[in-house]
Amino acid sequence: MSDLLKLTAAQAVEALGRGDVDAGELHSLYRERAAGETINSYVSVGDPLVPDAAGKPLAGVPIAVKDLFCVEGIETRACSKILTGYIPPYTATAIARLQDAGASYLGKTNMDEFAMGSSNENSAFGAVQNPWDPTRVPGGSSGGSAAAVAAGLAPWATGTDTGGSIRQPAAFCGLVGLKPTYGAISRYGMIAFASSLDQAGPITRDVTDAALMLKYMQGRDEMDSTSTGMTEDVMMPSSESLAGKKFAIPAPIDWNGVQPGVKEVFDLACKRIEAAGGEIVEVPLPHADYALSAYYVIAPAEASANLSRFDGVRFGERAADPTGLTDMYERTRGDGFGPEVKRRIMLGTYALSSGYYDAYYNRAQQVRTKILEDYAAAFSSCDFIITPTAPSVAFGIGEKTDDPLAMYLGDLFTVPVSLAGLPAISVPAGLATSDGSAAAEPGADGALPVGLQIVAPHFRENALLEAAYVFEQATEFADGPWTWAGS
Amino acid sequence: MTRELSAVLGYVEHMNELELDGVEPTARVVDLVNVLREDQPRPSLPLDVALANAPDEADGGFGVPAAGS
Amino acid sequence: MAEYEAVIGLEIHVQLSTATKMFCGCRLSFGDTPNTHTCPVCLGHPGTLPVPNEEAIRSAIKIGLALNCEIAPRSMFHRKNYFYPDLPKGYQISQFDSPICGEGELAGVQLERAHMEEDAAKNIHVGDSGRVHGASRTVVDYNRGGTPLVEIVTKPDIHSGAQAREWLQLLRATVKQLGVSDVNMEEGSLRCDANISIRPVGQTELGVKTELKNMNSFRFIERGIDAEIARQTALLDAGEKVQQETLHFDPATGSLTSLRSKEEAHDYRYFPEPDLVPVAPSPELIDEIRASLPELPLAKAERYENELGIAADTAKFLAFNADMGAYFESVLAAAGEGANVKRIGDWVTGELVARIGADANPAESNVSPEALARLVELVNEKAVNNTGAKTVLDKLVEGGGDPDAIVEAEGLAAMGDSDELAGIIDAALEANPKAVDDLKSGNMKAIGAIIGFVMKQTQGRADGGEVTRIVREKLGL
Repeated sequence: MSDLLKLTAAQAVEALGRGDVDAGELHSLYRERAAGETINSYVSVGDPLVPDAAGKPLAGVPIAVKDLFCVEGIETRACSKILTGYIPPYTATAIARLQDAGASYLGKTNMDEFAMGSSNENSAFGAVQNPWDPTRVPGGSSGGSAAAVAAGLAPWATGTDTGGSIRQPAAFCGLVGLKPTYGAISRYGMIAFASSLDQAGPITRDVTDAALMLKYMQGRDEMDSTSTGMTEDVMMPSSESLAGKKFAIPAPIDWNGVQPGVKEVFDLACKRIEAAGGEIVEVPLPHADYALSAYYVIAPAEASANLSRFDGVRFGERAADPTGLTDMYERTRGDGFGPEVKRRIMLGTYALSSGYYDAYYNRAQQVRTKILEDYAAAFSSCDFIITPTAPSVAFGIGEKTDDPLAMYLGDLFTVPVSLAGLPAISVPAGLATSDGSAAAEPGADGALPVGLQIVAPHFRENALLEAAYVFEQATEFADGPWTWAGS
Repeated sequence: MTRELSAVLGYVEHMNELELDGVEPTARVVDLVNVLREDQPRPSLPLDVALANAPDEADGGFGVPAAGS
Repeated sequence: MAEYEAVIGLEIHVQLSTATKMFCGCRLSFGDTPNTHTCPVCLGHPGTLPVPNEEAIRSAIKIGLALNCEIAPRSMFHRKNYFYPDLPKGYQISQFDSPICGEGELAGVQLERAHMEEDAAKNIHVGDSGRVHGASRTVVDYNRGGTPLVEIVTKPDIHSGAQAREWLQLLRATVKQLGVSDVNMEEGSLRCDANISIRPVGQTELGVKTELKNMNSFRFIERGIDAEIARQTALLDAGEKVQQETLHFDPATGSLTSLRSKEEAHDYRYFPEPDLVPVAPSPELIDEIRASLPELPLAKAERYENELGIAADTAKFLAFNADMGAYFESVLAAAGEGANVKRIGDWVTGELVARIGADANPAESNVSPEALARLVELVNEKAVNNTGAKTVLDKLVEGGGDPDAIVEAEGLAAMGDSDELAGIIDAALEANPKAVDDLKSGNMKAIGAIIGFVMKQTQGRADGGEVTRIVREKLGL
């Protein structure tokens, strides 16, 4: 395989800067791999031309973009049938910033339709295969981004996270996934799922790359009233010790719903944290248990309104020959949305409807208040909160498609963090056997990655990245499939 | 679909266990107010660009079946 | 038959005249080529977000203060959900339970609230003759979509069509005075819906209400409300019930047609707009805006009446009609100190309005404030009589000019207490011995014949009052 594929984005930036690597060659390499892939991680591949990025901080390193981000002139569909043919007249701020910094656009990655899903199976373009095991899902909703990076089809990719959509696929694919503090990165141009939760972020091979992408994605945007940007400059992590840092395990965790192999890897991670000088403590998060309930009311409620604009009037696909206005709406939306999207629109519409608002939507927002209070109290006695990122290793394609609720329960560790708008990172912590029954040694046949989720207080991304970096250095973790998928 | 929705609704009713009287709802986690824009015009889209994505471009506008039908 | 009392609440939409739309940088427009004032935000493209216009919020606070509303220390936007092609996002960003302006009051009518929202686009209906065979269709123009609106909601405090009309005129004058809107009903920058119910006099409980939509002139509002009160009265008198529904008043036929019934009412599923943060005007900002408010019509009417001694009706007419009021003040300024303010008021609201119409802007007429001031001065000095002055005004309205020059050119100078007038009066007395006898015996009506003779002789330049005075003197009456 080409040595170029082994370079992380940060390493590639350096090599490009030194002139050891040609930006056009790097772009072509990835572009050809993306165009010839077999795991369905891309939905389209961009222009072969590389914009002149000489002297720019990202120096022409190619980047894969989740199909949730509008890119001017490139069909953008959020992997939905209803947006067939939609060519945005503008580019999402987060992507424009990366391009301005010298990233070259590689292509659009597959995802769950409108970011609704945890397996990437809800895509109008079909399921994506996990590069670790093609019979398994890469996670979702940013499944295409994670699979592409894991398979060496992109050095890095953008993702979006509403309830875990960056962190869980990163965990399932053995990558780093960072969901920044709500407001750190502009949402302008990122097709909305649940506006009060959606946040863009990096999916990368290592923590340094995550810091690098965050640095050039973040910032206050006048086109997004809820954006603030980071309160401090993003630093490249370099710490060597976790001394003096308290890592809290939230209590109670119901380990019954967690695969033993995942629990084992998590326990091992705790030991590594201690070995690196960190202290493991417990904090109560009494309302975390109710987070999934609140999330599966709030996110669908916001989504039900956000998706109303897909009506076949100004863009996208309209049902053929409507007999009238109502027929146009019904058939356009009936044909255009997939079952999971419809399910959530119905749930959300119900939760907001007259007579049910208080019992569902308002109650969920009250639970959200309690969760925020829980975290505020917890962070008064610790620096970070840690959990497994997901309760299982990557599951089989088709395994959970008939049971949406079971799929939703997989988000139990990521969703409370989203409701509180906190920054969180998933870092590879180790491997487990493919049935999740036990931890596995690096190189073990069929072993699958397990992620550690580290959560920090609002806008403490620098501290979070430092901690994740130290943990990463302390972890024996097999290199991702990009090192063996190459050739 | 109905069965799946019922299962989810049944699950979220879990929230009813909580005593939440008097708890303020949280609609957004950013603690910001007055994020406003100056009243300065920005360029609008050229007409052909505005209409480029229209499934039914009609007479310089977006065609739809007659309203009220 | 029972006596009924009508109970009316108004919902008024005021389009603000900011440079740009409520949530994006597209310019406001009226009558431009369809869809040339649009962008990804106001077309509701995927991924776009609203950012509120600071000036629109200032304007809303101005309106709130002018209407004596409480300005909320913290207010939020909500999404109001429904599907219609003129609503690009499938929801309208509006305000729900935390409007920017709370309870207020204007001229005795209590206000529920005033809130901000974005306007819908315009559906242009194309009939069967359109290019699609046999199918009628609609074309949507998104130019208007996203125009900032303030919706003002009154309590059910109004009791007749005439009262609604008069109050709405005051509201219009007030908002116009603030300079935040064109408040032009024909162009739709002022729109009014009315909620109407009736109840037996003495009953406190409200009757079933109907909503009368989109009446586009003050006259139609009055007529529409009165027609609906009559319809409801007839129903109750006939022992029937009023159904809750939304109605349209057709001014051409005077008829009311149902748009939708209660059963078809929407569930708008309001919820807090997560793309926007709260609006929290500081007390300093509110004070600053309050201090910048101009004199408002109600205060102006009181000042005209109390300080200038203008009759109440004239004072209201001038104060509630911003253009008229401004013109009146220009005439006063031109007339300078010691002017006959009351007479100037009468000439503006009487003679001038009779000639140019009550809805015209006199500043745009040919009659300059200086000219009118001079004309009234000539009348005061009796240099021209009323009849002559009206002729001068006719000429001014027709082509402008200088009143003195017109008086000179048309030979309209009043014939005052002169030898010439005395001679003509002598001739008149001589020519009308019967009238003289009648006058002497106390029948003052007979003076008409004398005045008529004098006027004929002087071609109307004499002043009737002056003639009477001289006749009385000559006859020793």
